[in-house]
Amino acid sequence: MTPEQFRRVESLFGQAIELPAAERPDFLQRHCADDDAILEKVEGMLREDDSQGHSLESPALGATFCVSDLDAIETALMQELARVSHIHVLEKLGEGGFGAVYKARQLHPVRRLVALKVIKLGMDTQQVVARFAAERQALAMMDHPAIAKVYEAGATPSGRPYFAMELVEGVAITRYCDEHRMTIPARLELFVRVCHAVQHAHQKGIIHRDLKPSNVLVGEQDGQATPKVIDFGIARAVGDAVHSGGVVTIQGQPLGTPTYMSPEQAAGEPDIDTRTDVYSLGVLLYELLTGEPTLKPHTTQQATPAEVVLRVRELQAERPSQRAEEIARRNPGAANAAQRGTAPAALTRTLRGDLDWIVMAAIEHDRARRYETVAAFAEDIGRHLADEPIRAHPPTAGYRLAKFARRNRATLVVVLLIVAALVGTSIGLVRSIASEARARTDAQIAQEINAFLNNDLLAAVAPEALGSDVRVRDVLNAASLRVEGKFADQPEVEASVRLTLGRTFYRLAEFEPAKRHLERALTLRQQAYGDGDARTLEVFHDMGELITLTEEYATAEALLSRAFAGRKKVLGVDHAATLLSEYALGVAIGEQGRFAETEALITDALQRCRATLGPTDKQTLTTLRGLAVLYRSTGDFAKAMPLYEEVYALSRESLGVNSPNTLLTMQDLAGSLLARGDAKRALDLMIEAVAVSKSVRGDKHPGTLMAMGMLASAYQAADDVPRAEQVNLAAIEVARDVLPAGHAVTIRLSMMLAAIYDDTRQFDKAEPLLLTAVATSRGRLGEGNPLTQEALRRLASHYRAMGKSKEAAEVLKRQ
Amino acid sequence: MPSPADADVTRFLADFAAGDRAAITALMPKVYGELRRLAGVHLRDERAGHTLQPTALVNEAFIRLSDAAGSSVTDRMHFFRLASRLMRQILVDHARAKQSQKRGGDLARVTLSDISSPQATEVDLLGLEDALRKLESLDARKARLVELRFFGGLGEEQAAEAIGISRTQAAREWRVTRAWLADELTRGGAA
Repeated sequence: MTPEQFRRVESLFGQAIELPAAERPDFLQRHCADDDAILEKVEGMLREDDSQGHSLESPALGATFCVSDLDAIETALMQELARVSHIHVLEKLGEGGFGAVYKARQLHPVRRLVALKVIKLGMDTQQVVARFAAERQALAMMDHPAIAKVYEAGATPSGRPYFAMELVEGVAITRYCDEHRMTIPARLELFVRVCHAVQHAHQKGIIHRDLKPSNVLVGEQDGQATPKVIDFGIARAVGDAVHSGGVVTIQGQPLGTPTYMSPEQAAGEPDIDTRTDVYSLGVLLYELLTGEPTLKPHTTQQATPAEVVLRVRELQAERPSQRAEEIARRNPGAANAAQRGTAPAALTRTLRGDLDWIVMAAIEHDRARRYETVAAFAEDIGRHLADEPIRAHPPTAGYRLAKFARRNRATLVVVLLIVAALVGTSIGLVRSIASEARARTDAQIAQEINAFLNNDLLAAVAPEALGSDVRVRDVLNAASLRVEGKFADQPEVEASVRLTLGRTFYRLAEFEPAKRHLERALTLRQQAYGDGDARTLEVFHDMGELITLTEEYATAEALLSRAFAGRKKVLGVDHAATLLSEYALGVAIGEQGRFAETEALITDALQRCRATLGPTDKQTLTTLRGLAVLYRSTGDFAKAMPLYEEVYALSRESLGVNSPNTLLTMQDLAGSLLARGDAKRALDLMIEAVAVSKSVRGDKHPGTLMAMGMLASAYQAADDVPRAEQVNLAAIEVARDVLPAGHAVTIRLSMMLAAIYDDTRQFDKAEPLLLTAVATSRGRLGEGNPLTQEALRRLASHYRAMGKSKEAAEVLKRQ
Repeated sequence: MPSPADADVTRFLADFAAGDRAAITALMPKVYGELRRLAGVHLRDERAGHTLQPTALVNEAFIRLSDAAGSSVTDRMHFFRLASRLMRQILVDHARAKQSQKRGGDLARVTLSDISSPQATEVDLLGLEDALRKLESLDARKARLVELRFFGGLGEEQAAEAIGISRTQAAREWRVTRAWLADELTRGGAA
């Protein structure tokens, strides 16, 4: 059909549809008897025009394309790649976390077939390529038959980084071994060859960083299994870009698999060394031996990347022999033993002993306890194959204790805190010896504390005493009981012990017992040293912080003023302890709404911290953060945002993600982002923050609950209302359970929940929450308290959202 | 991450509005990438159905790519013209890839159906593409109209505005185009 014919079709159709149906055939016969094609076409069009419910009817109302997967993206990509002039894409080979891999022909500098790995969009191309270029020299020096060469790195027209590398024909080592039903010794021999290749790279200064089955391919040469390690240099180039952003995701998609990643790498630690490859190889060997990697596949399927990373870091894998046994029990039909040319019971026996210890030594969480090098790892496997004694040992008693401690991580943290504090106290006391007489007393104090430490506290956490599931509370309560009456004639010792216990309870947000211990410690020190002594001032400060948390701000201010003034006098104005008191005092005053005073105090403290402690010192960061919070609470985002970004970047870098300070800064930043409408980044931050907070501070910590509240708000902002409601409700439930009635955290969570309900027009659910929030806050904190004011504003906007402007005005009048 | 691409897009849209044809070429890969990414996200979310609504996608892409500067209505129209073309490209590429895989009849068939009447006849996307190609050679503006309404998810009025014709004219053209396409699809493009 020509455009002329089409115009005729259009015109005839236009005229025909104006006619009654009965007259149309005649009309058409008259006007296009000369052209059957046109006649037939217009007839067909009229038929279609009459039919109802055709799928072309109303596309704009929601035409939906049914597609079965993501190939659209990749196909388009192939076409784009054809535009990279010297590389012609031939076919797609596979897909991984980073992107897709194609078979391609490189025309320049050498005509050859290559594997082309194209990285997903969303990464900083220039950075990736530059990082690769930086390592290129080293990569070029690698020359090992079991290492695939990387030829080239570049970028596609739309900005995706790509890598051209040696094309390897082969399958993942795990699959190859299973398909060939390789026995355990045969697998070990093949694995040792992989180790040699990795060791070669290590000698050239290259760390792989992403060793996993799909990067260790096995093909055949002259009927011999030939392993080849691919992707050297790529994880570095790509992975650092990812880690500098903090989370192992690119725009919400998991990057690679964390299953084989070492804990230090998962934690985003900057100083990764060759031992990270030892770990990954250990997990790979684990899978070759048992049939599963350390992290069970089914536990990672539903998890978010951040959760998987956390699991990697907390994972306590059973020994390979235990896992093999467990697989057989879990799935009696499992093929893993048969794939190793043996029976389940025999497989377990083969793995028990040497191989257990070799693998466990490679996947030690603490890299200092791992095999020092891949060579040492391979040598031990060699010894086992030769029936010589291996170097990795079965665990000693100390090893067992460490294992126990790791199983009870939270408990261990507390015990270590207490131990560190007590030891610190005793050493500090010994150092401050002024006279011989005094020395005897201080030495006695130290001795007494150490005895208490050994006989009471550590005895209490011994698994034999309390069973394997020791809880923090059990430990502390046991210790508290033992203090009572034990130091009747040694008030100084009792004061130190009580201070430590008080601080520990305080850190765990157990405010009542914390207060009890601190009050006692204060009285004892006042009596022993007097009010102006640094040791007494220390307790004033701690009490002040605690009382700030329990929201008796005026009392807190009095205590902290005393600590600040005293420390200034005794320790000097630039002493870290003085600056800490200055900051804490600022916070207590800010909570009472006197922002100008707060700003003056915190700005002064910050300036002094930077000068005397340095810009990345923990205390400097806390102070910096405090200033950001202050500006935000006064609505000054222009001043607050850069401070938040600064403090987050510095905290993450210098303290790591597990630090409570980093957590707080994540929340703050997320909160500000939410306030400014960046829901996506806020959501990413909060998902990670909640996961970290749960693992570091526990499920019931007020900090975790507030983080959950913010996560809920981030979901709300991202339009995922069901999840928002679910997360917030979970937090409120815990808050009501564990916090004192009417606690600020509970009030804040209720207000957040009300906002979610208002947003979805469930006004009847929102209203009681807000009314209770206002009443509780007013009753406990007073009319003028910022929280009460905020609750009133929320109530007013709730009424406005309902269209009840009279009620809204009524509420605002009270402000 | 606040991508510099966002600012670029706004600038390119402005350039394009000012008549710079080169700008649109430069913008293509960016919008294309964004749409594909969004398509990916949507497809991942839809575990069971694997359905994809161009309207939602294109709007989402628009919001993401141009939220920084308050874009004018003209920019928006330019964007939809561009985005609808790209969306068409993506879906057709996808359909081709499926077909070339030849793995089982179900997988190879990519269909277009109307969500408002779930029982509606399914339309073969590749058939539609063939018909559209043909239509382009006969009457490019009508092909454009289909693109905007199907792949850009625009309503009659918006589509008319984007092409620069009156609403009445758009309605008339849509009726004839729809009939023409439907006939092409029914008879497999015999004519």
